[in-house]
Amino acid sequence: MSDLQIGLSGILTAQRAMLVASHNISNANTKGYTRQSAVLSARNPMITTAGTMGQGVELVKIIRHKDDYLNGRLRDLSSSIGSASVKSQYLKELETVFNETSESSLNNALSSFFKGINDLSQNPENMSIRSTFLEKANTLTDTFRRIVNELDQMKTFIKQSIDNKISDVNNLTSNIANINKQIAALQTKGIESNDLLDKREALLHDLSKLTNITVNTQNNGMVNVMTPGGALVSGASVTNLAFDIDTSGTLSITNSEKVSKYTFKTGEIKALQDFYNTTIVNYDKKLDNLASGIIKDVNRIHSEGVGLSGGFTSIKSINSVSSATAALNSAGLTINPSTGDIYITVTNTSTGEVTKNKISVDVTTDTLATLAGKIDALAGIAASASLVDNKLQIGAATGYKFNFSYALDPNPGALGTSTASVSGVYSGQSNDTYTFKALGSGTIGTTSGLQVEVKNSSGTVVATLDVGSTYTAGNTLNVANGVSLSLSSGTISTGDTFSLDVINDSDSTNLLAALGINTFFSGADASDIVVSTDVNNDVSLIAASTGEVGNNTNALRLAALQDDTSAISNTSFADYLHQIASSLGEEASNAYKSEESFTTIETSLENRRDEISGVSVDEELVNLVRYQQAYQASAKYISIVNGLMDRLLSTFG
Amino acid sequence: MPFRVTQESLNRTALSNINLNYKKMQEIQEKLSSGKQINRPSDDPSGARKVLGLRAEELQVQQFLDNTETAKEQINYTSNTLESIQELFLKIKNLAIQAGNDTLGQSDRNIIANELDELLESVLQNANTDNNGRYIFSGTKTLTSAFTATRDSNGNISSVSYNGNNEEIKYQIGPDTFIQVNLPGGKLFQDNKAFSTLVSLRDSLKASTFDPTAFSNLRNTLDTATNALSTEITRFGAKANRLEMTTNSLGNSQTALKELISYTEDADIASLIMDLKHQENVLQSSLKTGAMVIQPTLLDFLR
Repeated sequence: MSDLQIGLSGILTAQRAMLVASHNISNANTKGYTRQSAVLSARNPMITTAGTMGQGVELVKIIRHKDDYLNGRLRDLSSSIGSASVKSQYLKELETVFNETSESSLNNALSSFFKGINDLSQNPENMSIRSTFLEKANTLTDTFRRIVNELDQMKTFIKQSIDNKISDVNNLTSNIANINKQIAALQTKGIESNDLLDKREALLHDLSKLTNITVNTQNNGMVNVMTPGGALVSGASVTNLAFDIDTSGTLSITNSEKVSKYTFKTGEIKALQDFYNTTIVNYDKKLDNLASGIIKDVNRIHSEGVGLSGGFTSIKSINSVSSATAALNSAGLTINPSTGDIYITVTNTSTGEVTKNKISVDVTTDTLATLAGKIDALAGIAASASLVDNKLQIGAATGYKFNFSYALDPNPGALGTSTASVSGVYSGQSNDTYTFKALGSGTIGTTSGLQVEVKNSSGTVVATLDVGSTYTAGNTLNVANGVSLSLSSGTISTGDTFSLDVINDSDSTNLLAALGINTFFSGADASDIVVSTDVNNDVSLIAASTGEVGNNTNALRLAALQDDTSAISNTSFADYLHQIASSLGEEASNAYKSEESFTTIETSLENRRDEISGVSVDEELVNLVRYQQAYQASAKYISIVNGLMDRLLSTFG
Repeated sequence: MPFRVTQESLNRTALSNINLNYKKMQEIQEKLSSGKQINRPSDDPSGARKVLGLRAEELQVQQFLDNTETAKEQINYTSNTLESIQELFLKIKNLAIQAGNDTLGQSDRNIIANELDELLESVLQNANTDNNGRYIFSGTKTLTSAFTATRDSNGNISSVSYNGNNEEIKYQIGPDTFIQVNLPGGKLFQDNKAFSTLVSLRDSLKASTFDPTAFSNLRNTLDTATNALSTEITRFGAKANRLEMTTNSLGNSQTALKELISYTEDADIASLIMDLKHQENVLQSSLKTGAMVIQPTLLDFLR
């Protein structure tokens, strides 16, 4: 009977092999499917005296054509692509937020802010130009805050995205654990679970896109999924992930109990986490640096200037100190004040008489209260200071106004009967005092060889002025460093003297800017920068001058900030911004490039994988035809055996 | 392992190549339609940085050019006013020469005095010239008229006082370069001496006894005032020249900067069109080979 058995084995085996081929064909487009093929082998032979007799064919095994190394490589690559594509997607978005090459960019807002100052310097008394400048300043502050706001929105969005990806991870890992269980159950029965393995492989691939993993196969057929931070799947058990944001705003990935932290190397979650914790924070910080640099420098200069009215009758600081009795350098001010002098100019509005007062402040010992006391106690003037909610309030008595200008005292005194008047802007390096002293006696503009000597505070002669017969009383004489003097007619005698404070910085303590007295901006960084309420309500307060309405000295100083190449991090404000834009561009361009190259590698690796594991429909069709023929041949053999049987039976039957 | 090629890998290769080609086409098209090589910093980070820097520089040059134009306008305005004042002073000088003639009688001198008075009023009017609401001779007190006249009971000017100050107004016309655009009247009119001379000239002509020596002294003082005017006119002329030269050199740097920006940032249309054509061909052939490769299977032939 073995002849029929042989025929039957041929038919059955061909049928099964055709099943394998058609299974391959129907899964030709299934993601992660691994080609299977039937392994045929001759059945154990019958031992006869003539030797061994074949007993037909059997299907011993259905194998999967796979390459574990390639699958591992593809998983790693999938993690890298995951990070790179998230990175390039979000950097592209960030680039749009900064938008540096477009019209509404911060770059343009900053340029037009400085253009506004420049225009102001040409028409300081013009109200409509002041209003235009205010608009430009508001656009600048709006742009800062818009970008910060968009960065915040991006952070919220990324947080949601991380949340979604983490629940994806949790779904995938629990599926993997389930399949692990099924595979192990089959394996104990000695059954190879091909399609389940494929399914698990596909899940592992999806998981690797989210985070990089290492896969260890156990003897029972289960896999353990490891990350650098710990196991995600170990056999049939799963560690669920969650995320946590600490008080400093750092987002970390933890287990579901939020106890142990997971650190990933690559993958979408890691890229999102980096973007959340580093990239956005980094650009946010750079923006804050820029904004606070602008606030500080503009306010420092603005606080020493004078608006159209020429002075204040009352002013209150914007920023409060932590305590009125704390030393000023530890009173919680965002701009750190330093020890130095503040000059307060008090003008009698009816007589026009100007008094310049100098207050020396030691920020390590002086408090807001003692500062207020010093202002309050200024001899001969009617300015007073009092404390209201840890802020400084300065008010002038009726008939007086005050300012913090660094303008020179126009009428510093007289030599004999000749009164001196001073003009110009002091351009020296640091604040100084010039002492004018008559070197001889005589009549101004008449006595031959009559001279006045000018010494600075260290006793060096800075100028010797001829005021004798070569001088016409009332003419302007150039002293030094931009300071000019004119003497009225009169007589002087040897030793007559007066002194003049020549200052270019009327607040070397920076306390005015720190406290927010006569400042242009308020706020501390990019998230809260605004034009101060007072200036917004009254553009005449914009301090373009140091004295009269047509004076543009302070506006020129503000305009010079644009070219200050040491304004921030050893470069100008605009260049700092360009650096931000180009470093962002650099980062984005690198991300695009690495995404592109990873994708190219993936394509070629996938092709490699397909060479081994992919289904070639043609090949399967060939197999089908082959097994079809084998089936037909076996069937023919059975019919021949059948014919032989028939003959035998009819002959002897 | 035999080298196997599956449908899937053929499809994948064809698809990824077609995608790549479309992407390249899109890049070229973006450059062509915007006319720019750099459309966002990531297109060329170092180029973008350069362009941003150059643009900032160009903007600043434009600002200096604008400032120079405004300065020019103000300086010309002041120059013109100075010339009118100079003309008035020349007329006054001629009148004074005429009046100094001994042969004139009191009535003739009165006529000249009246004429002189008119001219004095004109000088005052010119000295109080404003440019768009800003008094040009008031120093930085630009909203205060420069001179105020005190008049006697007949309405004649008895004295003139200066309300302005001696402060300069400067405009920035280059990096660390400033130009003074105003002329404080105190200096121009020698602390009002010019006016008091004119008043004295007029009064001495009207006086019942004419003092030729005093009159000739006054004429000398008048000359000093006229000379001061001429000096200022020359200085303002020189300033106008300097501004003209500044405009030229700023204009040159602006052109150079614009060229540099265009060189860095603008797309080379001709070569881009060549690239586009080339890319079109590549795309066409990748589509065609894709169509050829994807379709046939053994099924087509197993009939």
